Amino acid sequence: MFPTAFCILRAAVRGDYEWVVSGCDWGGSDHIPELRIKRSTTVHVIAGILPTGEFDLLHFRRYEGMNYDDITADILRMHKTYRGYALASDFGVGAVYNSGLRKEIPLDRHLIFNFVGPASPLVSQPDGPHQYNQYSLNKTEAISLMFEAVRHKRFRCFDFEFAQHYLEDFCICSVLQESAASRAGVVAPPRSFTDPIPRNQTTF
Amino acid sequence: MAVTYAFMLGKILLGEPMVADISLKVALETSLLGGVNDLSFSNFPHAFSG
Repeated sequence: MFPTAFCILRAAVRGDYEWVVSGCDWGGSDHIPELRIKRSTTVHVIAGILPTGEFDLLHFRRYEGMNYDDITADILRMHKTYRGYALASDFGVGAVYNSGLRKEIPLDRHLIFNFVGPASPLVSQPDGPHQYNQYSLNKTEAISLMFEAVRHKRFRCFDFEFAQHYLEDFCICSVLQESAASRAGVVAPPRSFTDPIPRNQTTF
Repeated sequence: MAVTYAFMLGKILLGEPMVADISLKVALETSLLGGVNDLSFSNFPHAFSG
C-alpha cells in the first residue's frame, strides 16, 4: 500500500529526512513543434534526502502559464509546508523570477544553477558577472550523475505509476527513456516507498 | 530538470565531492550550512590577514 500525501508530509515535517530540498525549473516559452505553439511550464519538486544518500521524491507540481507571482508564492508555500531547507533553481529568464524566491528564502540557501558545456568542472563559479550563489553546472555530468543514481536505485517515489507521468517534466528525458527500458528489463525503475528503507524512523 | 537541481543540491548538502575547487567548496558549504558568512557581508571578500 502506498503512503498517502499526509503520511509523506508528516514524515518530512517530523524530521525523518536529513535534508528536505526543492528544485525549481522555470518555464520559458518552450516551442512545441507538433502543435505549433509555445508553452510555458514551470516545474517544482521537493525531495527528502536520507543520510544514506537516497532521495525520496515527496512533491511534484507543474505550473502552466507565466503568472510568476502566483507560481512563486505557491512554490514558497509548499517549500515551507514541507520544511524545506534549501532550494535550487535555474537562472530563469533573467533575475526576475529568482528574486521573487529570494524575498522569502535566505540568499545562502538558494542556489542558482546555470548549465554549461562538457568541458567545465561539475560545479564552478561563472566567469562573468553573476548573482550571489549562482554556479555553473556541467549539464552532461549532472545528468550522468542523476542517471547513475536512478540506475542504482537511489531515487524513490511514492507511486511510480503516478510519478512516471510527472517525471517527464520533472526529471530528464533519459530517465523516461530509462523507465521504458526498465519495462523491457534493462534497468530497474525507481523504488516505491513500500520497499525496505535503510533507516528505522523513516516509516510511513 | 527540477529533480536534477534538487539532486545536485542534495549531494552538496551531504558533503559529497561535487566541487573540485576547494575554496569554492568551502565557501559553498559554509554558505549553505551557515558559519562565518553569517557574520560577514556576502559581497565582501571572505579572506583576512593581519
